[in-house]
Amino acid sequence: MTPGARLKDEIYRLEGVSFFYGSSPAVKNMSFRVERGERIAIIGANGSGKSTLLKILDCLIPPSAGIISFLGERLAGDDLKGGLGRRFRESVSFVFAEPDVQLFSPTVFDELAFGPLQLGLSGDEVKTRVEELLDFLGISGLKDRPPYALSSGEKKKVAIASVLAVNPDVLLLDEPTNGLDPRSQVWLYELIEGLKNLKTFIIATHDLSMVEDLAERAIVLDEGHGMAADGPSREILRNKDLLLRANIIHEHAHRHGGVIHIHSHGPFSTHDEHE
Amino acid sequence: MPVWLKEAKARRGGEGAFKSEAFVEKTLDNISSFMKVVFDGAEYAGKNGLLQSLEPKVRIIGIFFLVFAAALAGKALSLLAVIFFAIVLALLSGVEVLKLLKRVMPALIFTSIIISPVFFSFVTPGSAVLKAWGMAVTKEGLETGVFIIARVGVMAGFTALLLLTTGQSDLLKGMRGLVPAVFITALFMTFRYTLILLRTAEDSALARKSRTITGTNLRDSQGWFATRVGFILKKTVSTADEVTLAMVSRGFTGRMNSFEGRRLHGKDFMFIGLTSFALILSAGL
Repeated sequence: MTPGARLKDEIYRLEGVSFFYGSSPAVKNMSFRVERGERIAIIGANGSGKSTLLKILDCLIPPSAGIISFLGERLAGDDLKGGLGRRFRESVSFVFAEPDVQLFSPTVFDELAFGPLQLGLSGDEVKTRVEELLDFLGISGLKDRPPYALSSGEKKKVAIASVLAVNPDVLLLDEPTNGLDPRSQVWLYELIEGLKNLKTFIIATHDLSMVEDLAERAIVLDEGHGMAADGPSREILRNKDLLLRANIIHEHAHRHGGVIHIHSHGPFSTHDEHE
Repeated sequence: MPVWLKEAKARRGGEGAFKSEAFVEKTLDNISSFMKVVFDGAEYAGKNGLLQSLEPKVRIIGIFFLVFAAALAGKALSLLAVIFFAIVLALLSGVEVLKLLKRVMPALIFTSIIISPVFFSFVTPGSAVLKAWGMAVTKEGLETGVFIIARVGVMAGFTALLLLTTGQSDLLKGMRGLVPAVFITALFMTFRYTLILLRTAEDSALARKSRTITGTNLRDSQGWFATRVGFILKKTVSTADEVTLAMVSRGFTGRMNSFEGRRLHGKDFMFIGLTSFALILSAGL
């Protein structure tokens, strides 16, 4: 394929995208493509630029340099208005890491209705959609409760539901398992698995078990805010040197009697080295 | 690792018994009582009562009419009628009169203090009913004062009745259509983020309390509080930025679309009819 040509099912194309907060880089020279139905994990240490990259992909902040295209159309920061703006907001949704910033409506029902209403759906259509979604996600009991009174796990569920209500094609999830208890984590895993091939997922996470289970492809960000690797998750997760270099796992030595063990540690540990 | 960290029990750094900080304690008390009001405020909202069954917008408009009726009541008879209306409305909505009185009491006390000169002859001349220290309480002064206090009391009573029987979400829904949706959202978000920031303030105060052993002086506590205010202000700005991004991400373009209220029923029309009748009567009497 000729460089720069659009793939048949290409959703995103990033070419040399960078973002700076003042003079400090947050994202440096990223180039990759995303195809429809892919499930991509963006992994990296704290402060490596994962959240900023997701915000760029959601067109919330314009890149300082480089080109980003969505369905073949170039996204140019503040110009996300008119037809392209509507198409983009209907197609792409973002679940923030901190649900408190995402939940701003008086009740859970209103929260789920917010997105569809802004896209101009009729009141009856929105009500039906919200009722069905509440039922599907098993959170109908929360319907009339104010979001601020929910537990952190419930807030996360409502935040995810609030973006699903728009029925987007692409879901950008920022640290979705943060603050979730084990049961809610299973709920999330099953939800993502259930939407496999129906939606495109781009998930920024520290949770390497999530990468292994739910993403076929992983993009690794290094501590210099650049891209350290892009490839199949299984291969990336086997590459211990890469994960150590990107500060996603770390190594730790300790002694058992006369034997010194060296373990890699992190959310996804490999206990494979004994010396 | 420092040697002292390895000791089973850290050596005491100084003398003095445990002492809590009054300033921090007071801050915590104020925050928790505010939270209690916020979370338990509408404790009768879930009951099956007259006010609860009305469309929120109708409830707000009707109560607004009644507050005006109380404000316009010029004679004791019309004011008594409005008080009677308030009591009947409270009972039909499952709110105990004593509870309502408790809510109204601060307004009554405050008004009594503010208007207390009205009772005396130097403001309201008339026939003296009580004399002490060269001052006289007059009959006319008593009548005027009690009338004003009763009027404020009944106005506060109607407002308390609305707040006790209307959940925050219903209150905001009711205001839609009466004021532009964007103001309602701004109002709700202000309230919402006040809560988040209060929680931050509460956590800060608790963290300080947990590390305070022998207490500090008031000036230090106030200095600490000032730095926390700065921190909370900074956090407010960053939270506001994130919220805006979250709204934009879900299609917000500056114009707020929202639901229409539910269709009005016969009961809603009757309530509006009755309250507007009370208003007209009160203004005419």
